[in-house]
Amino acid sequence: MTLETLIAIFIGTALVNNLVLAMFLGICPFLGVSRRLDMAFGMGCAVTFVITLSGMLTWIITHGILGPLGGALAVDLSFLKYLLFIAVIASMVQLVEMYVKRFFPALHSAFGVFLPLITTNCAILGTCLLIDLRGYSLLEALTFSFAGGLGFALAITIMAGIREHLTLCDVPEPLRGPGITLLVAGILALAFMGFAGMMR
Amino acid sequence: MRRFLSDSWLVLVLGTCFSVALAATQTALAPRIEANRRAALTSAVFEVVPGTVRYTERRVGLRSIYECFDAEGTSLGWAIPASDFGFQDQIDVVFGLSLDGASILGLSVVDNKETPGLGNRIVEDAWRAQYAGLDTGQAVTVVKRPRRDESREVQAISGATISSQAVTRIVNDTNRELVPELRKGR
Amino acid sequence: MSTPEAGGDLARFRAGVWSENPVLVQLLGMCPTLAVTNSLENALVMGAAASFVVVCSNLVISLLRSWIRPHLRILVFTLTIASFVTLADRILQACLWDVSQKLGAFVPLIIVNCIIIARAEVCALRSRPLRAVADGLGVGLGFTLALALLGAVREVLGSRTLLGIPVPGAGFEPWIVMVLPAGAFLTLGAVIGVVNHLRGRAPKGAIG
Repeated sequence: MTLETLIAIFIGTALVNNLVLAMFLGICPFLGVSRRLDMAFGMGCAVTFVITLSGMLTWIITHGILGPLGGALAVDLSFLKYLLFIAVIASMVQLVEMYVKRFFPALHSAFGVFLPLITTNCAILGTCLLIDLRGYSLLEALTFSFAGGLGFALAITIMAGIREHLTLCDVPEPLRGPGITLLVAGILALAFMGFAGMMR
Repeated sequence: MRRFLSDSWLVLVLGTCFSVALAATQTALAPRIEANRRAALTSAVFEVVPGTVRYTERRVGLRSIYECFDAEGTSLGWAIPASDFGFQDQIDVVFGLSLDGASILGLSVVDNKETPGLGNRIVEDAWRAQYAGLDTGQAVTVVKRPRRDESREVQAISGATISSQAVTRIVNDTNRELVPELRKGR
Repeated sequence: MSTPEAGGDLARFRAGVWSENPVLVQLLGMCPTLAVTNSLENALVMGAAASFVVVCSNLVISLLRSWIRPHLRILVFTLTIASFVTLADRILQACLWDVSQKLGAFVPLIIVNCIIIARAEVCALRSRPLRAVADGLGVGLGFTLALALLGAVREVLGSRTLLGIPVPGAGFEPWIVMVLPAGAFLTLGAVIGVVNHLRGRAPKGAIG
């Protein structure tokens, strides 16, 4: 596992296989929080923080606890994986919420229910699961989750910028809201496909 | 402590019940799941080293490879599992090497999450057949026109260049590492 | 949105399928909707798996509803849902190995599917078991239908097949974009636009 691999994982996850636009993770907040630029950016930062920590913690749990414990008991403990993953994520989000409430109370009230909803953000659980599926090492897992969070933040911020402009446009009635947002996301996804050649 | 228990007894009871139920399911289903996992590998091994009747695992460095035998017990060659990034996600392949490691016998794509209809076409027989007979002496290259040198070129699937290149890269990287080891062993 | 107590169990079922369709009306569960609808087969299996989980979890939550403490309820929901998802995941791996491989991480991701947690909170926690099951079945069916619609459209237009069988009489060049991520967004956006148009047309309360 070289620096080259790590860079490949970083760019691959942030741009080429962007969590939102290519892997379909984190769509709910992507649609829900991208109305305002400042909230979108804040959400992006919060998610990046939670993803990176959760990615590392779940790796440690899988390889440091479930693995050796299962080995010691001669039993396959992998069925507890999902339960433990979601428990870790929920705790992380609780931590973030407490931190934001203490140090950024205005932002906390602006976010409202969306902050605890980060727990159900599939981007986070998805990242932890992918780290497990792909068998990354700890450093690769760290790079992957950080890059994933950055990619999510990038996508949601771009979308917020576009949506703020869209409020000034004449969108047909049935398409207002989620309809036009999804269509714009589709075009964004097409644009991000252009990054695919970078992996060479 | 009492308040903690009176508040969370349900969670603890549920947690225990579910863990037990899941453990029971795991025990019941694990053999079938393992068999499924194996079946994918076995059919791939039989395909990439034609004539194989059974195979045994060997370790080369950190890799597990399989030595393949025919009905009489003669060694036919090696089946090498390898994987790396494709366009969308990991691509898992198994390819066959001749006993001396000089040429590729065949290739099978065991798992991929490439785009259906495009990158997914790396599983097609016609495309994979290009790998049979390739020379391991130098790196295989992917070309976008019909092949001129059938011992070192593979034609890409139109619209799925990255997936095609990924498979070739997997083969090249693995060969670069393995072939000298195999030659040493013999 | 009608309250879970209003109307009968059948009304709850029908609401889940049409007037409160989780994907097309409530806009929940978007991630799997976009991710697994590149073919009809994937869409149907995912719909079935999610339906299994929502029905089972609704039933369990409803049976336990008098004992669940309010401040611990999310934990109880998540525990229940995660367990049933693990169960569904193992069953799929044992019986439908190929499809389970194609669905990848999205089967365990059912755990954070907002639809299921929402149903537990809004309906199962306050209703009798039969009502909760009817709700689960309705929502599950609605989810599966929405997935199937997208899956069919994307597969026919994108790969010119349906359930793997080539579509006869289709002489057109497949719209590759349909099976790519961009196509997922575009198709769902268009479908939601159409659904909104249809709902806007009908007088309120006439649907479902």
